[in-house]
Amino acid sequence: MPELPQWRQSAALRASLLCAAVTLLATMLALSIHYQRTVVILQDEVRDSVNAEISLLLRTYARDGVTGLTDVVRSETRDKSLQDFVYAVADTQNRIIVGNITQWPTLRKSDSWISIAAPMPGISSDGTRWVEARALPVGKKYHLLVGRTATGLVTLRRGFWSDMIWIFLATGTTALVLGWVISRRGLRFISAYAQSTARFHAGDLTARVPISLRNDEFDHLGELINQATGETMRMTLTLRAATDSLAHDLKTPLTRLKSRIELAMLRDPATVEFSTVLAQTARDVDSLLAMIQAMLQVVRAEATPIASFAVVALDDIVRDAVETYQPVAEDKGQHFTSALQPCLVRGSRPLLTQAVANLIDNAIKYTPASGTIRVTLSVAKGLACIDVIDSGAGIAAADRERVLERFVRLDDARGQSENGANGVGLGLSLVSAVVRVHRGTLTLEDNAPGLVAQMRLPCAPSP
Amino acid sequence: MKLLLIEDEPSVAEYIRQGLGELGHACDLACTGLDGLTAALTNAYDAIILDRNLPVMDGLSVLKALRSENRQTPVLILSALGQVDDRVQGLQAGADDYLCKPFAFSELKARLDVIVRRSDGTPKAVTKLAVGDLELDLLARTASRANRKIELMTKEFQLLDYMMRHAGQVVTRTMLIEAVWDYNFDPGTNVIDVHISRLRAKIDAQEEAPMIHTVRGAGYSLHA
Repeated sequence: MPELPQWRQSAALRASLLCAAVTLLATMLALSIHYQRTVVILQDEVRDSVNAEISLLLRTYARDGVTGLTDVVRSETRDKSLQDFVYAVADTQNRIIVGNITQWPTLRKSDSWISIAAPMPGISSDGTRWVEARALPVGKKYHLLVGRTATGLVTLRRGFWSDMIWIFLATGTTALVLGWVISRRGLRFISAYAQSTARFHAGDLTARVPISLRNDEFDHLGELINQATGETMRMTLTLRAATDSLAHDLKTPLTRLKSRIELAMLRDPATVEFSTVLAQTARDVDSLLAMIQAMLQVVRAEATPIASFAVVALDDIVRDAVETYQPVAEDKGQHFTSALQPCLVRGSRPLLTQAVANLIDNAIKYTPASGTIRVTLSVAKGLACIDVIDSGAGIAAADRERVLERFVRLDDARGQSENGANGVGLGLSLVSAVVRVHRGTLTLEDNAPGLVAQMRLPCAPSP
Repeated sequence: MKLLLIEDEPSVAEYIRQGLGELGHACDLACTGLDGLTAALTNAYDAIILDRNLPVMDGLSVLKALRSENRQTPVLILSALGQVDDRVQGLQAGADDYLCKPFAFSELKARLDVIVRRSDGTPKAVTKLAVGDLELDLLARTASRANRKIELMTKEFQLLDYMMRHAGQVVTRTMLIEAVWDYNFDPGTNVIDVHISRLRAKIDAQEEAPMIHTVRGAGYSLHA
């Protein structure tokens, strides 16, 4: 398992912190709204009823003075067990004149709301209850306090902050842990990706992203990345092989060219047939150019993007090649036959055309006069199969594998080197490259005597 | 013919100028894309030979600028960029033909003749071609010479069609491979020669004057 970065720099930590912060903010918002919705509404309800009671008492005071007020309070507080309201009238020294509380509460302002614990014998278990009360001055000498039992409200209000803290702690921890766990999977993947990319960049073309057994999106991405690196590796190696063998294969004819020129220069100018030397040189240069062209074709065939493929009628392509080469074979006195089945494949028309042409051209080249050549196209099990069967010299079993490799040494790939100016090996290398980019297979078998070249390509799904 | 050559490689430019000069054609040379465009817009030429990789302004831009000025001078692109995509780009930009380096001078000459001739008359939709007493019915896909009916295979028909459309001109093997076979590679051996000789055997009967002629070192020509 690859190393993770330092925990402080880790994106996992940052992600989980952010996650926690967002969760906490959301929780706070939700709780605040909840508080508003319940506590404030409850409190307003209680306070409204208290205010209504107060205004009644103030009216009594205005009409009957303090005596009237105390009379009313006294009669209201007579039954001590069935009280929803608490009342108290006190003088300026906060001594209670009449009421059902025992002690005047300490107030911050002369007219304010307060939550007090009032004695309530026989009702609550501890003999007290929570009361939401309002204290206010009455006239110049007295204070009035009216309250209403609101145990639920007060408990709710008092509990709000402690609840808030607990909820914060719980959600905060959960969010941190969850964020860490979830982001770690992604970050572990990124770290693995970073490592393999660094190795790839350092020149290790085989570096790949490790794939877990979870088969999740990360693994899917990893597989795609690995496919891309694989393709890059394949192309890089092809190019390397191409440059290597191009350099090697060009050296031989160039050396021949050079020695011929040097030889001509050494001789007595009077005896040298310069036009002959020049004609030979021009021929050599032509074959060099042809060789470069052929190798470029192989490289480009290898590099053909699959995205450029289209559905093509393979039988059309083969028929065209047969029509092109049949007269050539007949001129050579060869017996040329063909049998083609209609068939569609996904691919590049120019590449397939050239591959088929190369196979047939090779067969004609290496089959003697009065020999036979047969070209067939058949479809079986979703595979299009092109067979080019000749009765020529064939290829030695030991060489069959080799000629299909990329850039086989051109001259000695098949038969004698004098035979093909462009090198037969390259012809088959190109066929092999074309088949490879089409995800097909190319096999060479013995026809005793002769060669069976078989090209198999996946058929295009029928529309 | 008066020609304009836009080419920055001195040795190639000299080779072409000399060759065209020997054939009696005047040839102006421009070494950058911008000079070439200026020359093409100020003087009247029968054809322009245009390289693609040019200093100051690349060949395709020159061609596009020329065509946007509504100059229909035939243009032959001569470039080392020879992939199918490159050719398509060049032809889409308004070139009349595309020849890849390295090239044979005879090939260049033959193609120049064709594009200059082509620009003379607008191509018409024809159903019948005739050269001398040789006739080709494009709809019935049959040929006849002096009322002698000639049976043709598909490739032979396409070959004759192309050669009759370019009657009197030299057509090279490469031109035939591109036009008749639509191959972007050399089909090798002597494919073209074999098809031509078969066609020749059908067209030119024993007592008749030969119509298909081999032009040494260049290609073929069909004329009465």
